[in-house]
Amino acid sequence: MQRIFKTGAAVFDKTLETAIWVAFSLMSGVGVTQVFFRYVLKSSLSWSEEFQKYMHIWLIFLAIPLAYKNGSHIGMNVLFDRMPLRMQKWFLILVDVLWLGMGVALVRYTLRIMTVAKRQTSPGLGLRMDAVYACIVVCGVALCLMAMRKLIERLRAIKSSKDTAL
Amino acid sequence: MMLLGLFIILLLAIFLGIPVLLAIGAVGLVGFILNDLNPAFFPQKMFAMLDSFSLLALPYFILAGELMTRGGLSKKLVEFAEKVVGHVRGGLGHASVLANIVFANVSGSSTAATVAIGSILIPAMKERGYKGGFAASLIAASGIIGPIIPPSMTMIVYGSMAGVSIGGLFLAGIIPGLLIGAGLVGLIFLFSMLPGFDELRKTTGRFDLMEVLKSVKSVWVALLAPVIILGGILGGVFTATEAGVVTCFYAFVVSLLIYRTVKWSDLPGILVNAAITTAMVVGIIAVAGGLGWLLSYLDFNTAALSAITSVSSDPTIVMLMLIAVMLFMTMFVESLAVLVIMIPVIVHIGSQFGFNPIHLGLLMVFATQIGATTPPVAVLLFVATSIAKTPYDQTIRCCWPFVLTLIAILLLCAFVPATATFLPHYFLGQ
Repeated sequence: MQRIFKTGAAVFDKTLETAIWVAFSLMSGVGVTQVFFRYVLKSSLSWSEEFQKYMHIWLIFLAIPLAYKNGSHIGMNVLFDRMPLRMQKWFLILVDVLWLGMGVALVRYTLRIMTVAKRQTSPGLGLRMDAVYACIVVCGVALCLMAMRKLIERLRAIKSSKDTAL
Repeated sequence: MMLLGLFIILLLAIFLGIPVLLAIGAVGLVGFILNDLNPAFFPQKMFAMLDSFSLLALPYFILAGELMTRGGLSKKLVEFAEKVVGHVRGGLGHASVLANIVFANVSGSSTAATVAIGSILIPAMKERGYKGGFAASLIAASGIIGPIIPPSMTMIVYGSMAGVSIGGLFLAGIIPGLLIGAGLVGLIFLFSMLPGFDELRKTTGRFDLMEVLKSVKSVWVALLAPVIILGGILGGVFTATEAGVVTCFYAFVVSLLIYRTVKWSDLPGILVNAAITTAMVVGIIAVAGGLGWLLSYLDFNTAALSAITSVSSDPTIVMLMLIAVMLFMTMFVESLAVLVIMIPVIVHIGSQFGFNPIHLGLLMVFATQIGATTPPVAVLLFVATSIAKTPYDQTIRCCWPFVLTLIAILLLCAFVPATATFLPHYFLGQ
């Protein structure tokens, strides 16, 4: 069971990372192409600005859960470092629960916007706007999965440390 | 009352250690629900905040920095700086300032500069007898040159949120960035004359022009970067985002094809790292979009304006009060969080008093950076202290002359607006 859990988590992380670097490469590629078209060929691409903007938004919402997984999000640790170890563990669990709540809220409320956004299309690429907004739903789902994973790991660690103490 | 409550809870949550993005997002969402607003507006405002072309400059400059700093550029920069100023009194201290000025051309983050330069120079300084706290304070103080001299992540954040020209802000940072360098160099000279600072009087060899020229070979990437970044902006040809794209392309060609410090197989990892760094900053901007909308719905901007004008309506005093508020808040709360929460208020007050938006932006960015070096909560001092492996209280004792020097330069920039506005006015007519 634990092996399936670990493999599933690794596949999920790898998929997220691949999507991120592919999106970043496409965005940068289009950015360079646009500069070339505008300054060398003197003819701008009409869709490049919108493509880069939406790719950037997708990139950000895919990278937010990954930054959470790595513990990279900007935060202060002045008080945290001074907490007793036991309190630190429970504080981290509280933070994971908050991330879980945030993930659920993002999915729930963005789905509401998407029902309206599906009737709109973007001016440059002609994309249905619900497809663009979907990145926030993906971010929310990924945050929930990451948070649940972290919660299971933390609670397991607390339980095993209690067992060892006994 | 609700407004004050939300604001205090938000600052407390951040101070307690809840990640800034999560704290702003959670407080914002709860605020929407408590005020009977449709919470679906929250993700919509997040999206709207990121739907901006100027914000695209951020990932491009971050990626360019990641590419260029691979292959030990910071180490080569320190060697170059030592060869240029190592023979002067307080040589290593001056080398730190010079290395930071050059490093600032490729990196727009003070934390990145403090880690990159500090991890090489702090051990070298300690080896030559510098006190750990002194070395940490100096490195942290000179690290703030990074986001003042272009490119600057903080300026991109400010410009895209406040609707101020990022190119203009970049140009506005050049003179103040050099003034910080000059101020710190002056302070090191002063220290080197005081009893009890014998280590600052030690020098490293003699000035050798041939050696300097040799070391230029290994750092030309960084020395050439400003020509590319600013060249287009100065000529009014590029937007800041396009300058970011070109810098990225330049970094890509140099690292992959010329220096070969980066292999093709390294690229996915570099792209993911740059994306995570971008998401750490832009994610905060996104949730700040939701919170900012809520705060303006609750008339926070008007409340802040009337609080300030109840003390004085003299523009100079209002400007000083804004600086003081930013310095005070960033002493306790993470500086980027303070900036993104306060930008709508700053813009509102700035427009009421007719402040030059570029001058005001530069001062606010500068003030938040000083906050990152001012105890008790000073991210840059924490980073530098941990590299110096010295007690934090020793760093606190040593940091005040540096902090006061930075504040003096900030005030100079406030009272002499031309320090910030001359270059944008001359080149861009802004």
